[in-house]
Amino acid sequence: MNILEWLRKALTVWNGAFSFLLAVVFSGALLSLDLSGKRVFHEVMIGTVLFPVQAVLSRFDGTVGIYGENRRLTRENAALRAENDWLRQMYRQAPRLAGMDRFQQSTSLRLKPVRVVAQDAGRFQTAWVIDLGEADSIRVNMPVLTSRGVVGKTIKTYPGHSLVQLLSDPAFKVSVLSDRSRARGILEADGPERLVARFPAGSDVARGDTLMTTGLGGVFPKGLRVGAAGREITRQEKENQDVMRSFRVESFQRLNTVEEAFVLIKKDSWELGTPPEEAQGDTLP
Amino acid sequence: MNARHGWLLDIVILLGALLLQQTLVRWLAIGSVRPDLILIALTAVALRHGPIAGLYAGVVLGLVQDIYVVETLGANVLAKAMVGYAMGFFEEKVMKVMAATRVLLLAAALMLHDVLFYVAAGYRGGFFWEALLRQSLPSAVYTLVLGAVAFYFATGFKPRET
Repeated sequence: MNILEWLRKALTVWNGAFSFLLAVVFSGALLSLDLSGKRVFHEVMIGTVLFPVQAVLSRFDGTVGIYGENRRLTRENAALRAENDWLRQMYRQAPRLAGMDRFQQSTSLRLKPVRVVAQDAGRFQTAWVIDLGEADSIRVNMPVLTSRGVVGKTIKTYPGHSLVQLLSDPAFKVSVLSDRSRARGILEADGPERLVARFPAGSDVARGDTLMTTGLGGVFPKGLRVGAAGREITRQEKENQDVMRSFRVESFQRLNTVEEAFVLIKKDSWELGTPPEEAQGDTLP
Repeated sequence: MNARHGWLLDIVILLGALLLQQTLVRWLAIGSVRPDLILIALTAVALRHGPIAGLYAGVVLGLVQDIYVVETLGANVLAKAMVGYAMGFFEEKVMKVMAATRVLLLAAALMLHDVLFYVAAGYRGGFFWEALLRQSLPSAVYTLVLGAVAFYFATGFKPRET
């Protein structure tokens, strides 16, 4: 009988009583070690016998941990990206809002800041929806402008929002004058996103003249900036050159970049038929 | 399945339980109550192969667990070795247990294990009873539920091969 066979029999005899005794003695020996002895045993076992187990456990635990951490980081990354975009928007919006605030402070007109919340779905921008309506004292035919100039007027109001007709709408017309010569004309859209001002033949208008509202018609008060006269349209382009002088107009405010604007809360004195002396305070300072 | 494959399967079950206990159990935990997957695996192996297999499986698993908690080194070895031996011995020598009775044996194993562990680890007086009632009992119930499911699906409550 070789030693292995003898050992196997010894460990299994009497229902493994000897094995049981060995296990009890072994655990008792471990329990009786003092703390430093236990630490030595722990280090020896971790570094030798249990090293493969430890390696597998660490790797498995690490893999599961990485999966969870990856999910957490993905969520965190999405949140941070959204926050970053939001902060970037705020950063870019700040100077614009500051400019609006300065403009509002600098004028005696009653301006109500509004936000553009929608625009017409057509190819060319002719109307906006703004976030204020009748509940905020917005009424039909109130001028809509930015600190750079006029952009349109309200044409329909609802309790919580309003529809704005823009300068680029072919149906939109406004009376304008040259700030240099005071010559009066009509500004209207001439094709998509192109404005034109028409003056009677012989009017003293030149390229670069600032065009402002005249106050005629009762919608826009006198003196609101609209745009600058561009090049004159030649005879080949327009048949009525003899009776009208037409100029391209560069709007001071590009319509497709506007996110916030003002609605000018109209005073009654602007309406047709009011005495001229009461309307004096309605022009820009 | 021949005897060698049976042993291999048991080793895989024990190692798998060890891995899952270190990793998956933290997600199965309800508050501080955690199931003891190692004990389920140990009981299953002891019931299948008898007291000696249960004893050695308990020693190895207990040692692996003890290595990570230096202060109570040896307590898990003692508790798991005795539980493995007792479960195998009971099933082999006292009575051939019926299928559902194995679940009750698992419950007994859980309580026996924790009592042995607390005594070996030096828990005394109120601390002992508090640990037993607040930690062991809820964990035992949780482990019992998982164990019953595992026993049913893994072994189909088949009696041990002789």
